[in-house]
Amino acid sequence: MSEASPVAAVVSEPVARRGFRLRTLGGWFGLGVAVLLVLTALLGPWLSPYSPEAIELSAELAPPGPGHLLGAGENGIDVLTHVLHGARVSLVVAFFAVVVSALVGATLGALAGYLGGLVDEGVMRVVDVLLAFPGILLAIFITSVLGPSLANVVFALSFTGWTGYARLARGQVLTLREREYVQAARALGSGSARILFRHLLPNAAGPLLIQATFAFPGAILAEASLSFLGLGVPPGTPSWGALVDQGTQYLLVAPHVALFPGLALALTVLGFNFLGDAVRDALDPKRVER
Amino acid sequence: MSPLHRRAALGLLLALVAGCRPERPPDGITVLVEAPPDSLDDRFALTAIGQRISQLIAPGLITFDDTSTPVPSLAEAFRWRSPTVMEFTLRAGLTFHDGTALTAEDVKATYDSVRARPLQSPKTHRYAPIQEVEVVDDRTVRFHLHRPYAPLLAEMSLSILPSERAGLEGVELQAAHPVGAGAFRFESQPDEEHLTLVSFEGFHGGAPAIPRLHFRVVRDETTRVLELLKGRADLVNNAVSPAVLPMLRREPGLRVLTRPGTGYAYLGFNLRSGPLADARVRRAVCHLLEVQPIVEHKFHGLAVPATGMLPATHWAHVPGEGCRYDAAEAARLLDAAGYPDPDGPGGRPRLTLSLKVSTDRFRKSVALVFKEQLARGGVELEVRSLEFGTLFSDIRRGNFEVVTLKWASVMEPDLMRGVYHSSNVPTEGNHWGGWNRGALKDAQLDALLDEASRAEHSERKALYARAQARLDTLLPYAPLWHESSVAVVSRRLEGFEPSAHGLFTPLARARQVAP
Amino acid sequence: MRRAVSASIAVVGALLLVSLFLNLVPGDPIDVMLGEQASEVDREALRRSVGLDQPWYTQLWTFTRAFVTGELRTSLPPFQKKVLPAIGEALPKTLLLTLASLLISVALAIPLGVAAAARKGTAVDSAAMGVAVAGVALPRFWLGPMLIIVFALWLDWLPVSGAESWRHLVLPSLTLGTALAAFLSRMTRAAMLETLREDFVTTARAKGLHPRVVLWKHAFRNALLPILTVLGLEFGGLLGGAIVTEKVFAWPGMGTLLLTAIEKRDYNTVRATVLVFTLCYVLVNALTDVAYTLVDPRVRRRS
Repeated sequence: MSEASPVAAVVSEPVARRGFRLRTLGGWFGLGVAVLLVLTALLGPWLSPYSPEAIELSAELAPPGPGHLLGAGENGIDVLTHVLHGARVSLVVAFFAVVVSALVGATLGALAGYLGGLVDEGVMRVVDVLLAFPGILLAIFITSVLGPSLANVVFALSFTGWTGYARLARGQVLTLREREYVQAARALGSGSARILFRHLLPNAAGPLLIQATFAFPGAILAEASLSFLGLGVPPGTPSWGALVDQGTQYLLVAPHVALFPGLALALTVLGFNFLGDAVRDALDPKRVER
Repeated sequence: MSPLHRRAALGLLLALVAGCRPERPPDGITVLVEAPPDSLDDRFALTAIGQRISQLIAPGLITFDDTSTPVPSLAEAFRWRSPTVMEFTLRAGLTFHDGTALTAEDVKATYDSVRARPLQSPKTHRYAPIQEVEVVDDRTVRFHLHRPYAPLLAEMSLSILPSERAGLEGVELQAAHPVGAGAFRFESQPDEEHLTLVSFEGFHGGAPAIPRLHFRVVRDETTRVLELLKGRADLVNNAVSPAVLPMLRREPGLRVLTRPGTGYAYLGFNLRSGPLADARVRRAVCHLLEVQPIVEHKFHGLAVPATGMLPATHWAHVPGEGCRYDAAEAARLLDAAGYPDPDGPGGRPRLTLSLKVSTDRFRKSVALVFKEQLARGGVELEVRSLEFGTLFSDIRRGNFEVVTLKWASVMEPDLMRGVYHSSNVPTEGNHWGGWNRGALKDAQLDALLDEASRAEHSERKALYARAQARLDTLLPYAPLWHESSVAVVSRRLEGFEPSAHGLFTPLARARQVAP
Repeated sequence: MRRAVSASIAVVGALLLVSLFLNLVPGDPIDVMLGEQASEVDREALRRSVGLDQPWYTQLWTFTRAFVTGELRTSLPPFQKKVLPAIGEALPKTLLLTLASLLISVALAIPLGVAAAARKGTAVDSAAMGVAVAGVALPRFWLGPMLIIVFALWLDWLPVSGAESWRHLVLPSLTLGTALAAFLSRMTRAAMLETLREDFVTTARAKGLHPRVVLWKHAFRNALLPILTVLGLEFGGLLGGAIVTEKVFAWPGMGTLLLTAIEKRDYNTVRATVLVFTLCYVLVNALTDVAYTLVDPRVRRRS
């Protein structure tokens, strides 16, 4: 940081030191769910009573009880174990999908906004095309061709997910680049790349972060949906969606198989939605709910 | 909301709830089937449902008991007059539903029609060994064969139709309003999903006690079970999965009736190339399978471990060993075949095989059990589930290593010739229609199976025993189990004795009672 | 005009993506589809049928022409049926499902949202919005089975699955519509709160009009426009959600067709269904734009 000049300090001001405080019950609830999910994902293998591959035929579809707290599924797999391990799959897939989408989207969007012209036109037309596909359809299409695997799910979700960030980053860059501090940086002789990555993107980070927080539960849901359709994780891999899929076959005799992973999923999505609201309120005080 | 609005809304809600109530079941016995019959004319029916319903309306000369032995139906007696001449004697006083008499002429007309090209019956080739059908008198008919062919008897359950309907011009008539000499007479089929039959007073075994039979198509399994639970159905034959049976057994309004079945589930190996071309590897896989726990827990006892294609109840069955679990022997065989354990128990596998399975939930879950069982012996199994059509197209063309499938009903042991004879490897020449999909080629086995198809009934059992012994050495299939035939019936249906083959004909002797 | 251009670019792009996606698969897509032990005959047959033996522009042209003329056939020999009739049967079923769930969500969301806005800050408000928040988070593939358990298995009011009568439509459309209903009720509440603050509402109240008349006649009518916009935008989302819902209820629509085609490795049908889905989506979005201009005089004047 050689050029810690007064100008640079002014330049970074808008993003700096804004109070990040959760103000609502929902926010705390969301944060709690998020922490719980991360802990589960990290500690799942130590918390779970069985191995996810363990087969125990004599316990097939057993109801919740002392041996299997949340009951057992097909071939006697432990539902609790699969729910715990499923958290890890959900989190990992959603994390990578969101990070990859955000990086790709923000970079392309910022470039489009900053450079304008043909680059802008090209990127935005690709965005239009991708937005022309209804939500999950493109992800289904991609995974159906590539086959079920975690990496393919991340790829499919990123392939469709980056467009939102691109639009946002472009819009932010378009408004920010006329601000004084950018003009000042330019006048001081900063290069384009430097202006883009050091001044513009950091200041567009707030909206991008909000977008990412909201995209996270979306990605978790998308992975679960793909796995439910048999296109997400490979067979036998613990995933909430796959477990619900298994459970739908046994609604009459073993409703617990579909119930618990679905509850975990709903709780997670709910928590992250609240967290998203809270993050938005915290980063954007003007937009506090009526 | 004003009181008026409130009342209107309440009324609407009530109307909706009333509309939600499912319709009352009609009078009579309601049978749920999982798919509509593909045809009510036995000459065209290929699905089990189609054949079973059409043979209930129009039975054939003979039928099969639970040991798969041919027994009288329309014919009261049958015998081989020579190795190439089979003679049937019809019961006295047989009549069709339309009141006309059923005579030897009708039998000849039916068999002549199914053998004739213009009808384009998919079953024509099954009757190719027949040279001529001869009417001796009203009640006697003789089948002359080109050459000795014992298995033909298995095809003699074909529905007998009135001679005037047997020809091409009768096909439409028979399809719209089938006529036969069976216990139940066709009444109506308003759409693909519903079919009503009524008791036939002129049936040779006496009019059935059940006045009316309603067949209803319910594709979803949960719905079939629900209809049984709510008392809107009286019989579901072999169309509920084992997982729900413990619950159905606890239900006071229902009874679960079972018979040892004649289906045969197996692991089929592709012998063309790869590790499984080596019989030692096949035997090792066999020794790593534990069938008993699957039968006990996944079938809840409603299956029997198999030792070969023929179930223990079959007339030609001889006791065998099947796949005995023996991990040590499996390890020894794999070592000998050149697949040593690279890094001791656990860790990397000795070899990797791919298993193809249909997308059927139950088959997939069983495949995962195999995967775990084989993994313990150092054999990694990659499970790939494929839609049925795709799976069949793959195995017909030899695009598989291991496949798990079942033969739905093994009645005639000559099926072994179709499945294991070297002339039945699917090729372009037989339009990929041969059943020897693993491409087993063994001259000794070929000779035994050929001989058994020509031999007289009394000698066949011994020949099949020798063939089975040979198969135990070759192991083209790993035998798994014979699934039981399971009928779930309501308290309204009494005296129903399910058939090992899942036939509906026992309904002729059952009764309908007030619950 | 700009809208039309952008929509056609989207359609052409979708066509490009759909017809050439197999070329983007790393390695040989035929391997991915058929597995490694497939015979050379099969591999060649499939390669020809999905056009991978051709240069990319020929592939694009062949697929487009076959699709437009209705000559497109299912991928795998020997039984190559035409794809279009299957789509013709499935599409109305999916549209029926999405329209029904749209109606259900409107019927649920508007009273809920208006009630919440009218009683802002009360228990009614909190309860309604609590339900709405939860509704957004419920995954359809889980809500569906739970509705089946309650309404089909326990209460025995409605059928488990299938598409034979209107009774079969209730649970699937409820499943598909819940998320939209939840979202829409929050939107309705927000829009109502906005208009309730406007001067003309205050004036109407001051004139002594009945509160219900003010609420519905004055406030709601003006809140309708933003609600309609959201509805149009979200209708496309329902099309995507229909895929999962159709699987849960074995509803014989486009989603079921697509998933079956994937299982059968019938990539021509997969491509055609994806394309038709996309066309519907683009069309609905375009119609929303048009409808919006017709309804809102301000927008009309501007363009």
